[in-house]
Amino acid sequence: MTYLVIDLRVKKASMLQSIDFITPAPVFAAVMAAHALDMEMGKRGSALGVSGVGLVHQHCQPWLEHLENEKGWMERHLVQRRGACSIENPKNKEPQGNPLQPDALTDLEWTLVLDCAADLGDAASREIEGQLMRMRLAGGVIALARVRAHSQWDDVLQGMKSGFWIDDASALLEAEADPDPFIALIQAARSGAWVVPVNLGYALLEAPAQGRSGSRDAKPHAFAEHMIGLIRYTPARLAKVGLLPDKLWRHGWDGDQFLVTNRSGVILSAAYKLVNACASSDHQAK
Amino acid sequence: MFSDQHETVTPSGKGKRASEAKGSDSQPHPRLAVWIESYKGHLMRLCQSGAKRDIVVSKKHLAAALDARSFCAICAAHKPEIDLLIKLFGLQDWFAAHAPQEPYGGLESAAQSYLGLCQALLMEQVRALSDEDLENLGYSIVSAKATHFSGKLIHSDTQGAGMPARDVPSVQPHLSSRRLLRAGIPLPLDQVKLDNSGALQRVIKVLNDDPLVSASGLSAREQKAIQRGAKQALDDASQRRPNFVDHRLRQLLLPAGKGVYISVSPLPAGGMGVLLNQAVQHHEDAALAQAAAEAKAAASEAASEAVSESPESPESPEKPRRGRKAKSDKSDKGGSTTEGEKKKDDVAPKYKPLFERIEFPIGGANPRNASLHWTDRGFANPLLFTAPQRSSNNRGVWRFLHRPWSAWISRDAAKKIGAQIAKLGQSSYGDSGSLAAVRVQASGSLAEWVRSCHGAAQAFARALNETDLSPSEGGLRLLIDEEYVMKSRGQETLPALDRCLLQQNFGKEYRQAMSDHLLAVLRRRTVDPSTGIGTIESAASAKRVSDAIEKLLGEAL
Repeated sequence: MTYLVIDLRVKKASMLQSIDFITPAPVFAAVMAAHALDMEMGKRGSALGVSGVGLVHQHCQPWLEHLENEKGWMERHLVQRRGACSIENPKNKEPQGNPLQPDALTDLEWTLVLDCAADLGDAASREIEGQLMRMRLAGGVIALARVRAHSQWDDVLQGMKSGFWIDDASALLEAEADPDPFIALIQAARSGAWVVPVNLGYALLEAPAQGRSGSRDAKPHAFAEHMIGLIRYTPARLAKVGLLPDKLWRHGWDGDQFLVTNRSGVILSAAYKLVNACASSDHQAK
Repeated sequence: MFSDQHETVTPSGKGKRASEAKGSDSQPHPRLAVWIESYKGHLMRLCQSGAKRDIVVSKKHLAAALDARSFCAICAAHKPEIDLLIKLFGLQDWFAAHAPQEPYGGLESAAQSYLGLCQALLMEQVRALSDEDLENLGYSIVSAKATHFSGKLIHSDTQGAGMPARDVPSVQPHLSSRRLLRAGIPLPLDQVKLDNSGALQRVIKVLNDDPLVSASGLSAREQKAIQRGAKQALDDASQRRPNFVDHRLRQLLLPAGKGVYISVSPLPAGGMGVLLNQAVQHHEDAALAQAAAEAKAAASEAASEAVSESPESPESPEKPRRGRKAKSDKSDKGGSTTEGEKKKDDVAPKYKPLFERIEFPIGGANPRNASLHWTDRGFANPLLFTAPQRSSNNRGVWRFLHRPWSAWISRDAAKKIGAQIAKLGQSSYGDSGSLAAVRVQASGSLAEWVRSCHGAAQAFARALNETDLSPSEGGLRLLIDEEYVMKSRGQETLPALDRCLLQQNFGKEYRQAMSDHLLAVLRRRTVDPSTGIGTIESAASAKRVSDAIEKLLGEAL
């Protein structure tokens, strides 16, 4: 068993959690990037066997600014920094040339802690660094990746000297006093602790359909909705007291909802009953 | 306010847009001004639209009128109750052809009976429809145009990406349509494509039991029939499956087992933004009301203290200000404000949004294409939440805990500003403190420096607000506030400028404090070291520079 501590510096990662929330915390993307890394390494016969991911936020620098008005004063509203998104060109007839949804970008410095089943040494660490530099995180370019391997959890904690440990605080959305989750979210965000809303999963709006035209890699496709949860930043110096590997983030299915979480007591399944779901969706209306 | 009020009826029917009608006959009728004059006092006033009934029928729409009858029909079609019937049942053509004769005379009663007649005529048409017809109407409109989740919010050219919310509650706490279902909160509908006819918005009013629907004359039976059709359409929509994925939509691969993946395209819901915005608005209004109540209590307390102290208190030490009054003094009524009024003004709460939003260009040049809720405040203005940042200004923040904030000026800038002030003093303005002299002074190097100082002060105030002292304070985010700074400095009061920065208050108090501070910095830095004589020696010159700084700061806010 090995614990990999990966320091990442990412340029222009997406801050867009859903169309209503912008937060420089791509938690879902980071947890799934660890899965992607595992799969890529597995193709070379050196699978990592990642069973959990720890997230430590070091720094962020959103690509936002106040524009100047004609008199040279700063406008009150924040906008994306000039050059942060492309502008649709009406003369461009190629569909690929059309940009997607406008995006809000950030530069990030994060540390990921991977709980790996494989025994990995320094040589594997260099290989992982090389693989990471070819990957992206939340659409952003990974500008720096430094990997350290530890065999003991205590060594990981000892090295955790700065930054903010990220926890899933979605349970705060279940306020007993008020059933309205919007009110609960607003109150949690202004509670004094550093709690922000982020996208932590997707709920399918339909059973996945086989053979849907335009589907990525011809996989079964489904439309889905965002599942907005809350995360809490805790200074690493405080968080690491009594921190155990079972507080690492994991991913999986709860019915037809795909989640990432580090809450205890949430049972997630690694598999989704795809065969039954697809069988029921054979009759597609045109 | 209805978003599609640009559509109107014309006597020739066809529900032409006013602009199109105008295009075919660019000249309005020569008697248009006469009709407006005749009907503006009663008919046009009664036909005002919008949530507050304060939007007058625009001349652009009225320009399509060909005679007095069509003029009155256009006016009537803008009355919300009549507008609802026309657009819900698609009676534009019919109403254009069958609108009653214009009201006779300039009496309000005549206008009222005319509008009543219009409404009765339309209701006569509606009454002819059976329950089945009404159900079909609700079904067809919702089936063709309504959805909960739409790819149009990702790219307005997206096709075939509209999905209704699933009727399955979730045990997970996350904010989603399933969680809303569990909480019993209906998710507002959105459009799957641009609805130019306005029918979908009217069906949504029927679904929401809007009071306007009853006011328009629709009976409960008719409303229920439309609602049944609309609900059936939503149920049926969940069975429909698109047979393609638009290339403009993002696709994520989610692991569904060993080596098995599902491709997923997340779709946003415009209705979710509406609910979020309502909650934010409610929270901000409550916070403002609380602040107002606290300010009122503080003001009354201060006033009672002033009354109790007045017999012993000496004359006000503040001298009356001389010269031309500044803009900010306009409300002072000749400098005769009482102490109580001043204090009340000082403690009046300022509205400040509690959540930061960013400008987000959803929908591009025409956001109506993207969502039915494009007029909502939250649309294209998502909430921005920050994460901890390694602030380069930490040193400044820690310094602030022991010393007041201070503006910085380079040697070059001080030299240039000194020269600018001296040059103006040597010109024909001399020591004048006139408005023209102040305007001339508020330019060039001085303006540049004041703007940079104001920017620095704003950035510093933001850094103060964002600085996290939690590592030593047990996990909670401890903000730097006045009490904390006074304790750190060992002082009982703070300078006005520091107080403004802590409160992020950039109003009148800030302008005065910042102006005093910048003048003091300038006075100190424009002293000639060889002679020991400063550029801003005379009181008149200092007053002019101070006014110029205040003017520049006033332009910013």
